Amino acid sequence: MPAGLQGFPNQTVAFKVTAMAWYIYLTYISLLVCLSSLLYHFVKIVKLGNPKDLSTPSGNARQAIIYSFTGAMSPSKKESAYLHLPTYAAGLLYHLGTFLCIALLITSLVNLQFPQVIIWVLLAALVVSFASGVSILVKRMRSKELGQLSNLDDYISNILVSLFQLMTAVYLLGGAPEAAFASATASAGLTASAGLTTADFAGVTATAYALTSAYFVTASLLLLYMPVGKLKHAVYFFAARYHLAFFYGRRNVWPPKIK
Amino acid sequence: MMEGITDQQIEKGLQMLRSLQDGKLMTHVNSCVHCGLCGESCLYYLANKEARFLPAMKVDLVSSVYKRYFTFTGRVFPKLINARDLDQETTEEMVDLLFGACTMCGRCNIHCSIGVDIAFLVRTGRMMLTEMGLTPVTLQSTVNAALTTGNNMGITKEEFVDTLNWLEEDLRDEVNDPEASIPLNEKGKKLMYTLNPREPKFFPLSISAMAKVFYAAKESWTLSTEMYDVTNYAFFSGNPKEAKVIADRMHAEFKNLGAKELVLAECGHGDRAYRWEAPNYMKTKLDYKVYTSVELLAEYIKSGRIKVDKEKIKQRVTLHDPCNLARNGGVVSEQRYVLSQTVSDFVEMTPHGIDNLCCGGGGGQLAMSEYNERRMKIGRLKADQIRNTGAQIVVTPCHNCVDQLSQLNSFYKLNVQIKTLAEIVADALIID
Repeated sequence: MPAGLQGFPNQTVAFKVTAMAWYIYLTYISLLVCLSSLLYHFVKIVKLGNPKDLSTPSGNARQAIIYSFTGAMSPSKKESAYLHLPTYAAGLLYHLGTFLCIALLITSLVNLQFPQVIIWVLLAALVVSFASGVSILVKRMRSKELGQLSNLDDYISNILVSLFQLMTAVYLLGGAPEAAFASATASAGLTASAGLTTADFAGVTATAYALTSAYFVTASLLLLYMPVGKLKHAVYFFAARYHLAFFYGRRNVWPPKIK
Repeated sequence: MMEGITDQQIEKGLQMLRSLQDGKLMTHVNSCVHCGLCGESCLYYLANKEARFLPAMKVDLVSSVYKRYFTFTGRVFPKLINARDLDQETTEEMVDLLFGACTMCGRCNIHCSIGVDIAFLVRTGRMMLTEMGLTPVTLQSTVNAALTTGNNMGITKEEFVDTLNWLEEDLRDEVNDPEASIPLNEKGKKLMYTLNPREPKFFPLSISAMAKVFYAAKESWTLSTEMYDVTNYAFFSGNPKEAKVIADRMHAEFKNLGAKELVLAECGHGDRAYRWEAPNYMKTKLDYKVYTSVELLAEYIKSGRIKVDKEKIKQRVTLHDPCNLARNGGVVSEQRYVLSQTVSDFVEMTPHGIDNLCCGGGGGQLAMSEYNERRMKIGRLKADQIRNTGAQIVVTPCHNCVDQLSQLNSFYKLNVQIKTLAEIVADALIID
């Protein structure tokens, strides 16, 4: 480690980005595009509202909506879960891993740092979720039936998300924080003030810079793609469960009355 | 193979889809993630194990057309998301799968990992096809019969009245009361009762059963000879205009007779089509109470208006929940309460309630003879379910289900009796 980085110990530098490198700009822009697009979809659904239903309700839609997001999601209530436990578990872990990566992306943009022990825990979680994502992809590629059901978007979405998880793990694993620091300090002109030369960073930046930029580029690609294909179920999942609950709730189907 | 479709038909189909766009449609066409886990919840997939029968495939047929014409990605990058043109090939697939391979039972909805309302999308697809003039002829002829004769079986008024007259005589003999009656077209009664036309045509004993219960309850009720058909097959064909005509007739006759409450016969789709869907076809809220005879029977027993003896029925009894009554109508506990009071050995099927398996006759399948082979094949799952209960009597509060279960009974040699709930109550009835 270069002498100038002594005050920037490994155990606290998980996502140290102190200045706006090009890939950070790119990530911010992608995030903005993604959120705007998803917000557009969300606002559109909300504006379109519930279907006009003139029938007299016999149940309680509000209770059904709560049930839709709680009891109805229980693995014991869904054949798509309890008849397909390995796939269900893989899907669940894959989604948790994705949420984690998105959270880590945000923390990287706001310079939140983690102790090394947390980083190892996060890495372990990402390895599991990445493996889950790959297993789902392999299943889709190997199953004749899923093959018939799938389109290009299904593969791209899975590959992009899995790659994002992998790059997050690699970024966490090492190199990237130093690269970010080096890039940041260099671009902010701090190198000279610290008495360092660009050469002091050469060993670090060669690989780490590439990894860092690759991480943020991957994240940006994912963010830009999200509103295009099925990944926008990040919004529609909630809307679907709401509408299904609204339908079943008015008719007193949900919450269920018998076991 | 259907004849070539015209540009005009395509435009009509798309216009229908355009007109249906709301938050619900937009949500469900965008929600499926192609996980394929819905297959195990669908009779057609379970019986055939072919990818094309996956509920997600049916979703895809509708959503791929929607995306092709109404989304940016579908218009610009159709291959990316498999957005499909509404052409000959697509419409042929739609007719075969949306009409011929779905009972719209909605079981896949409950089990979908996301919560896509698959049955709703199937119905949306049917509406498009019907607007394009592609309703299966058999299903349309059932609708036409209702439109032209007032009931889907084309029963003449004379035939209907004759049937009711001899049923009335039988009732008088049975209850030993010359004053017992099946009132027709009487104004100002509390209840107007409806029928599934299968009753006067094939299963008149279910009318007798209900008449006997009304007699025991000293109910103020009437039937109409002008409009008694609780069914509305235009709901299944996806034709809101024709569905409105049928629903309007029922509404008008109810008003004409000046009854206070409308009781829907044991018919799952009749319940759904009138209670839940008709107000939307008619674009009006119903200002009177509409409920099913299942709920009425439960109320009679609970309130003590009728007395029943469960020891009268000693055979093992199981219950088939009609999808439109239970999963799509929320009537689940009432039939169980009635059976708990009227039979001594009741056993549930697995699964049951809102998770029940469709009998295979729903969604207009019984009317579409071209799909009979498929219908009987998917019915094997229900047949196995029944056999596993060891029951001698299968009760179902739906005449459509009675018909399908009767055919399964014969086809799979189940050796059971199929009865309506009213028939069970009538058998258990104690008349002072």
